[in-house]
Amino acid sequence: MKKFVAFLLAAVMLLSLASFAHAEDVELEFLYHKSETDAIKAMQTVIDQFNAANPGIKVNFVQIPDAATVLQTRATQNDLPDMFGCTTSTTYELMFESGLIMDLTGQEFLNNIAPSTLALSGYQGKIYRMPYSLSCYGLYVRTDIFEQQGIALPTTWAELMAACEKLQAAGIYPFGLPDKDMVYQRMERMMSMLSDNDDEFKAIAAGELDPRESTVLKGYAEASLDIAKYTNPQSKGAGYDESYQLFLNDGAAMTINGQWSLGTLLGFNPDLPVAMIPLPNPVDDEKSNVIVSIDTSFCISATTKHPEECLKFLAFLAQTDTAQTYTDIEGSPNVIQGVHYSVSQLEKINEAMSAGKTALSLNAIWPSGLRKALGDAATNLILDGDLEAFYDEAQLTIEDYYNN
Amino acid sequence: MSALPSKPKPHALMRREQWVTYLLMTLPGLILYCVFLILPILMGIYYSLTDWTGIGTNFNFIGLDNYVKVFTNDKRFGNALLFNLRYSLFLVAGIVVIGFILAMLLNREMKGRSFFRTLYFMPAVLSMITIALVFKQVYFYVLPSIGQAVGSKVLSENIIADRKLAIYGILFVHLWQGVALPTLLFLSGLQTIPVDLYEAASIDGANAWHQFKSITVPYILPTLSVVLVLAVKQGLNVFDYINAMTKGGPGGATTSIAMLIWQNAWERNRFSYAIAQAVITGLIIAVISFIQIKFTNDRKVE
Repeated sequence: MKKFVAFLLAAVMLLSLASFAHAEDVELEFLYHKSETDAIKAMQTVIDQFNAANPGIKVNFVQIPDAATVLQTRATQNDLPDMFGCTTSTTYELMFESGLIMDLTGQEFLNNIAPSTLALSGYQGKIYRMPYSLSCYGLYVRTDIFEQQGIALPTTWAELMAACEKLQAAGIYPFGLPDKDMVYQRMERMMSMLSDNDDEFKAIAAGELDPRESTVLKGYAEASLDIAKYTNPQSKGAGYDESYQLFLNDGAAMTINGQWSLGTLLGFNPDLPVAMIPLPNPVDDEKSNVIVSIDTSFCISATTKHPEECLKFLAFLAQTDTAQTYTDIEGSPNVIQGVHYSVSQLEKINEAMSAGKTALSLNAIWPSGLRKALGDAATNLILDGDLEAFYDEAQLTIEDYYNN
Repeated sequence: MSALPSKPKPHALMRREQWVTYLLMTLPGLILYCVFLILPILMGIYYSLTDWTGIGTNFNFIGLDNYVKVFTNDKRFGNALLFNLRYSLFLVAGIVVIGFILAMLLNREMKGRSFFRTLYFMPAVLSMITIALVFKQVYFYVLPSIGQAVGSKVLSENIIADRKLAIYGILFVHLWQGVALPTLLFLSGLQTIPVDLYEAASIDGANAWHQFKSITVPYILPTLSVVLVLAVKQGLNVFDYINAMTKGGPGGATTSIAMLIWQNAWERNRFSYAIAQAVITGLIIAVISFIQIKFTNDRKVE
């Protein structure tokens, strides 16, 4: 018995010594919201760099499926990780409002962020998230098919429709789209191109505007029917993956999607002759802008025990060389000043973005869940081609989401 | 001086001891049941009376507002409820009819009986999501090709991309997998029927239909009761298959109550409202289950 007690005491002493040796190490939990392989690799790389350069601080990288739901659940328990990555949605605004997130306003490292993007990241005059990278949405074109048919890359809606007509005449389906369950996304991005605010929706909700008079709803609905005429019918049953297959296997010359799809497409065929270009604006050729969304931002929990260390980590991320490393691996445009972004397939997108031809995704300001609900009306429109039914359904949905 | 306590009679003592033993045996289960089931339900009901968004700790008590809204101002809930009722009806009919026929067939003396029993149970051991994702591909790539080959217009297109047919596309997958367990239950129910009853009946001149009606059905009713409750619960709670195959589409045509609750809670940040919908759904399931248990109990063989 004595021996056993002695052994136990010795073990306890050893353990306490071991913990004493690491007592100075500050451990920070970082929950990452992205699940793409490249993104995880990029984040892991910069975290490793930070940990190596900052002895005494250890950032623990946590990547789990459906991080947004986990984050929301932990928010209810007041158990947020020290830091986390997030996209743009009104869910996070509820967290800002509830005082769960640290106010970053006035931090010096924010000066390193493109001022236009920083301005878009504010909430009620304060900065709660450090914007980091963008996603952009546009038109994917199979350049080989366009060359064979002698069609130039379209820059206006009329050119796009003419190209569709020519492709169709040659027996090629112009579009292959994920229309089974992703119509809501294209609808929201196209509407974002048509207006930079939701004033019309507010007016519809207040009963002051007939949806048939709404430039956003009308502009989108008519363009959507134009596209539907030239879409491979298999698209109706296609999700992302099936739409990629249509595009890859000559089932379509074009698809409409975000830059995040490029990695998957090239994963299937690294030599795929593909270019992503701005989607022409169906109403105003001058506003054929790239639709962007702040895809990655970083936040610090208001209840973290180590605010200084967390701020140090964000400052590290905001350095140009760190951001360059991240972008080179992750593959989406970064908002830290001085970061170069060059992906040959996205050349036209980059040109437009450099020229300031961007439109911000409206999902950031729409009520939570509106785009999916309105997406049902948009899907029905594609299936039936019934404009009147679309306006009616859109009106009911907008009223529901704005007034409840 | 107080009277000495009378010695308890051995019989009573044993009963009390037994009672304590029973209590101690069931206590852990009871505590776990209360903590993990009853308590969350009560908390849920409490939250459904607030305007909690699912984030943060600030919320107000709003009484029955959420419940009033569900019934007066929510077309989606009505649509989802109708979808679920329709879905459950088909599912229950499918599970009972197919499950019972399969069980009758598998109960016969035949060659390779064990093999077939195993074969028909196979789908039950696969994950719902895996099966749904496999069938999603079948509906996209395989079925339309078959439809075109046989010249069927309906099957030439992806059925889960059609608002009218999508429900059947999901039902087929659900039945394919969901019928396995009820078949097993029916099979065990059939095996409890004493063979001499059939023998006696046939001596008395009862034909196959009479035997089925007067012996098989009354004996199988307790099993049927269990199968019905399980199938109705599955039908009214269906989520996984829909989420994997149609995500409630096309155009909201397959949005079930569970999908709607999930959307309200996680996509719309209306947690308390979603819980109110869940409570109402729970009550509906309870009422339907009560009626059907009562119905089958009244008719079964004691």
